[in-house]
Amino acid sequence: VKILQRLRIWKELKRLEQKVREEPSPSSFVDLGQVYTNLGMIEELQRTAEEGLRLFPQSEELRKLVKFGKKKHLNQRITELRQHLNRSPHPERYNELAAFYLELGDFGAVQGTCEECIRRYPRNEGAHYVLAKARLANFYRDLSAREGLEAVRSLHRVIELAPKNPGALKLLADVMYRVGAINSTLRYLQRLLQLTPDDKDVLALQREALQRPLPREEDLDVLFHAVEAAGALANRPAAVERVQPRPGSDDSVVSVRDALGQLAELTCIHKATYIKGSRALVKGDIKDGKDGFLRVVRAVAKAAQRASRRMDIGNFSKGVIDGDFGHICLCCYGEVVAAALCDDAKQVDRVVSELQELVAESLYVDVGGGR
Amino acid sequence: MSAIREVLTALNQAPGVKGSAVVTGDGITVATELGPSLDCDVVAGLVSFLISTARRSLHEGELGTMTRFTMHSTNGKIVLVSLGDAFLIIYTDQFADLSRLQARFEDATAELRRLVQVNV
Repeated sequence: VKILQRLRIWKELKRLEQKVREEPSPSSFVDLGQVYTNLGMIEELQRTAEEGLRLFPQSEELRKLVKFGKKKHLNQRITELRQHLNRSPHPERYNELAAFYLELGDFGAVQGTCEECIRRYPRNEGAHYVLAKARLANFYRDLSAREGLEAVRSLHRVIELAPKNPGALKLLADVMYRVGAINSTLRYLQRLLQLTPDDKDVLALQREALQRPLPREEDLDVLFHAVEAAGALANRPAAVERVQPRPGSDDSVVSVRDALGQLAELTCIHKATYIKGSRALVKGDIKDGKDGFLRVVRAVAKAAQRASRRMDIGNFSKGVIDGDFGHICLCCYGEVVAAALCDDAKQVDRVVSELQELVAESLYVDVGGGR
Repeated sequence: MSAIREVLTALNQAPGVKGSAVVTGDGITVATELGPSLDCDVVAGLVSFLISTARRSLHEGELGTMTRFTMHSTNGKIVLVSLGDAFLIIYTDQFADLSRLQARFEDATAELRRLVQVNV
């Protein structure tokens, strides 16, 4: 029976492979990917998904398939590593395992693996380093003071164990600069420059840090909590700053307008807006400032920010309102709100991530124009 | 334990879900299993404010009615699902994968819609 079943699957596989070649479409790639998954052919799954996405870059299904393939591959590697670790534990393997979990975005597993490693090998700085990277990623995503401070603690431990670890010093200098701890930034940069005197990123960060005023006192706890309360970092990344348009320049407004225009070009989007304070850039079917969609976006974003803080769950960052009208996707950051009215439920995740990108890229751009 | 609370307790077993409750549009708690981290009265009041703001602005903008509102915040996510006269509130941690939980939410919503119609 098993042989017959296998033969049937192989026949189906050949049929789908042919279909992908002769009539390529997102669904034919997804179907083929599904069969590869069932057969445990993870490399083929990844290859097919990537090939499909190259042909149909707008397909959300194929994006998900690529992500799924990557996840499957990582899970396979994780299972192998876990088996290795059970047979012969080694700190390097723990670090590798934690790095895989980090790539999967499974913070709980990163933490569990690193803690297990630290218990067994307390002097292994690698586990502290991966843990710090995971916490930093959480901090930059959510601006949670607790995550930021924990990340700094883990990085300090790395430097205690390996004083010449340039990666940890760089991450520390960077996060200190982003939260406005300029004295600490300069201190870490000095140590870094002794190790890597020609590092262009380090030199750029030093240039930027030297231009900032030096605070008399520097309480990290206060600075990280100020970032959380404001919902924004004190300084933009030094490397990005060099390529970003100057605040308030015509270029900066144009870049936000262009990004909004690109978003509105998606077939599922009817209306899109970027609001900063009382000004709004709009694209799509919006006649004036009294448009119902704009009214909903303004009112709901404000109410959600207020409710979120009062409920003690931090800053409201994004949301989706579903109803008869379709889906209103919102993304907030401080006083900036980007939103779009979308009519395709399958595209909602994509629209939200595009909005997040738009808001993130525009954060330091002063929208002087608008209607 | 009431049937509504049983549904909420079962929903809270889903990965990442930290609590759930059913409140009416005007902020009266029908049943709560929100857990210790959230004050039910505060949440009911704020959710009522949020729902009334969204409904009013949607009505004024002639857009129709809201069936669901998903909020992502720094330390958690809140999903509000319309049950007709009442709303189901689902509170999850910030790492919860809502797309994976979708089926659980839909089952609970269908069951609660039936129960709330009887109870409210």
